[in-house]
Amino acid sequence: MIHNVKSKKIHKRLKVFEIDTQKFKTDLIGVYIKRPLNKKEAAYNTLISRILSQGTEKYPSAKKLQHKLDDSYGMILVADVVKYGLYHVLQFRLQFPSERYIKETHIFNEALDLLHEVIFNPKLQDQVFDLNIFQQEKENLLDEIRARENDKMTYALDRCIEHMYEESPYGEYVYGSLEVIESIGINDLYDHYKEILETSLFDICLMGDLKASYSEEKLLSFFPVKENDFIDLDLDFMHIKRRSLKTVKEVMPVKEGKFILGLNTHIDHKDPLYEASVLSYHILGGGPSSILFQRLREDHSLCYYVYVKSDKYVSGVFIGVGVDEKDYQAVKAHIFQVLEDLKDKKVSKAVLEDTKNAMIDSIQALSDFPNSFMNFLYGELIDQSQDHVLDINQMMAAYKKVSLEDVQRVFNKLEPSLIYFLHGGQDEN
Amino acid sequence: MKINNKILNESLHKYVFDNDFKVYVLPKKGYAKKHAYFATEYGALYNDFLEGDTKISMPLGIAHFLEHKIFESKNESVFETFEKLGASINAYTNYFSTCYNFSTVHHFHDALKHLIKLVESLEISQKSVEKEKKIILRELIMHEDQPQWLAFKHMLKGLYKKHPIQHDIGGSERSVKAINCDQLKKCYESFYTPDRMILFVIGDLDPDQVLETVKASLSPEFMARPKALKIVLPEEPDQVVSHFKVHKMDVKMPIFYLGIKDRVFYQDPKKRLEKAIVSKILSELVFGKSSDFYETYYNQGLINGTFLSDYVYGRTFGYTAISAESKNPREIKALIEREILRLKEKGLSETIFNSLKKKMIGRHLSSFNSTQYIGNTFMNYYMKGIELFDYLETLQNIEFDQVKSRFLEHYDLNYSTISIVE
Repeated sequence: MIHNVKSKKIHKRLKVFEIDTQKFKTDLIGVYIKRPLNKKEAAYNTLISRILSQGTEKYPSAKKLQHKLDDSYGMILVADVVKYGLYHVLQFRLQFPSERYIKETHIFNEALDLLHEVIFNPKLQDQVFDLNIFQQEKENLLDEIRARENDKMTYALDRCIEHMYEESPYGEYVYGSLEVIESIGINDLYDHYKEILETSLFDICLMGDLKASYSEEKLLSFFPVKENDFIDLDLDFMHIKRRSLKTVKEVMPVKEGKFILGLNTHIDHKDPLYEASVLSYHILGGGPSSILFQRLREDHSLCYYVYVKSDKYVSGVFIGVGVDEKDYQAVKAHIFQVLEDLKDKKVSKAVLEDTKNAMIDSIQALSDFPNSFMNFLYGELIDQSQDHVLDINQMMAAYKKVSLEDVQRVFNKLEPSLIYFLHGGQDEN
Repeated sequence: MKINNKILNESLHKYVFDNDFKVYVLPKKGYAKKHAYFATEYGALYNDFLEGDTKISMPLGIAHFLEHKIFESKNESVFETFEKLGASINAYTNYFSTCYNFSTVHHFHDALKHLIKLVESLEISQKSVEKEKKIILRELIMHEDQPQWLAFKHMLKGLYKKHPIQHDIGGSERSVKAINCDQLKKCYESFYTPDRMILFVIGDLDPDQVLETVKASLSPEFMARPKALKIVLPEEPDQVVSHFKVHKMDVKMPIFYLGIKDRVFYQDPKKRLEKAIVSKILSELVFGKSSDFYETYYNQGLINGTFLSDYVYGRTFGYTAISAESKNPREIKALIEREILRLKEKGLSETIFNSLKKKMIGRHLSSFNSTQYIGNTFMNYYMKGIELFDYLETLQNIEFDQVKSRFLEHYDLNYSTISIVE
């Protein structure tokens, strides 16, 4: 277990988290830059994250940068954007073997320097991004978005979210839309990059054997974030939701239909019922002994997989099933029947206790995975006040307290909002 | 027996029973999760075997089908049994093996007893076999919508004439429908035998205690089972089946897989491992993200970040695969050929070789962060006759000259195929 997460506010735009542990063979540094989610930010931030990892002043091509990473014992650089509710976050993470296992004694400093290069020192040409890199990354991003239909399972869930939240920024695809990306000019993009550096909140997470500790000055020299005002991100999380059930069907040449039901839960992660909701979704479709798996797969052989995913920031939950399209009505009827039954019928005490134990175990096991732990930590703190501290024991205690009545309350709050069905068009049900 | 690795700072405890059943324990201090893997060296490749002098052939996909049926237990749902202990149970079948594994934070020893009990018996009926067919067919169909997977599958079909690596792990619709209860029982009896099975355990655990639980849990009936039957694999020619295959599908961006067939095989597992590591370094050296090839054609927009090259192998097959989404996969093939010829003249870069070797050492070290990854890697190597700690030692001893001669030996597009989905 990792309990010793320390945080330090260096100034109003820069905060550092230290996770001091010798458990792993690697150290990990993460830089999280927080932006609001909207049409422009999604597209611009994504393209910037791609451009920054293609070349810096010191390593002016992707090949040279890659060579540097390989030569530093296979450092892994991740540059990406992630949706956290109505936030769009640029993430840069660098993982590398700890000094204890290799002969290189300056690897931590080298890693800080590399992240500095990538985030603050992009390769420039005429005082903006390098034109070739810009054009190539823009083209690649457009291709990537066009190709996202290739992964039907993810695509179906994304489309369900887009339709369910069509009036809200949350409906925005994480990598932005084709039309906005197509319209991006190099000067506008560079201006946006400057604005990101000048107006965003930066969180830096350091994880590993930190005993050779760094000073505040050293950190500020690698991450020269000025103490400016930041853009107010105190967003209203109660956003527009679809309240009446709508069905959207999309036809593509697929052999297996993808059925997704999106529901409003009216429970976000600050709600007193939050922990009960997590347990309820797990009971509903969280694994092989869940109600939906048993009913759809084991009792009726209607599917190979069924999942339930929730988004704790926007109070939404999604049930996904891969189905033969002729079984669409049957699958839909079973799911709605299960949801209806759960309003009146309590789940058994034993099932709830097993689920609680599983959840508490998985919280304990979080600290077995450095990357997941860091992302989890950031996700927990993202919309909390700057002084909020993560207390894992308190989290586990909150799960222990959940009662059968709480679970039933959750099931009574679920409100079907959107059915999305991706199918081959053979059956007109 | 305790095997130490100083660089990794890890120890592996190994026990071999008289009937050749093996147990390995890798203690990991400070980790919450504990995992156990109970596996048989029986996978999708092994459909033909000898009983005395009689050759028996089973329908494709039977090992995978059997994995599904092991879960059919006696009184209560297997999943529930494990869930009550806070453990989650899973299984997979690949070409070489079938593996049943669980992970848990608490109650490890109880869960281990259940895992052993689960795998060491099979109770099925023809009725339950028929029911399972529907679920397995859904699983097979799910892959059919994945263009990446289809391109890969057609590459294998283009490379191999007889070797069963060309077939899906799950079999085909026809073969799955043909499977019956007696065949499943026959395969179970023939290959779920102590000499072909191993147990691997990892987590914050005491190895002696684990061994005690294992000894107390294994049934006398299981331990007394006769040796596994002899598996036969067909002779595979060096030549490929076809050089080119296009599969039409509605995709926004074409996908290709180019495969180069290996024609050199070693009996000695260490030689095999050495060849595999050399081939992996080579595939990165020629086509990886720090290669001239990648830089040139990425900048020209012919390939994107999905471009990958790797070497894949087993005891009896091997191939280098190069894959990507590309607007013009046909042109890529010609460019790959040109690049190979260019490098055969110009020579490979020793600087890049050295950094790639460092990278692989660092990545191997890093992989020891994850207990689950170690478990999967252990199994993957074991099924190829390699023990976990052999890898790092072999990697450290690889010389540039080996890479150069392997380049000349293996990179010949007369033994290649390209499969395109567009």
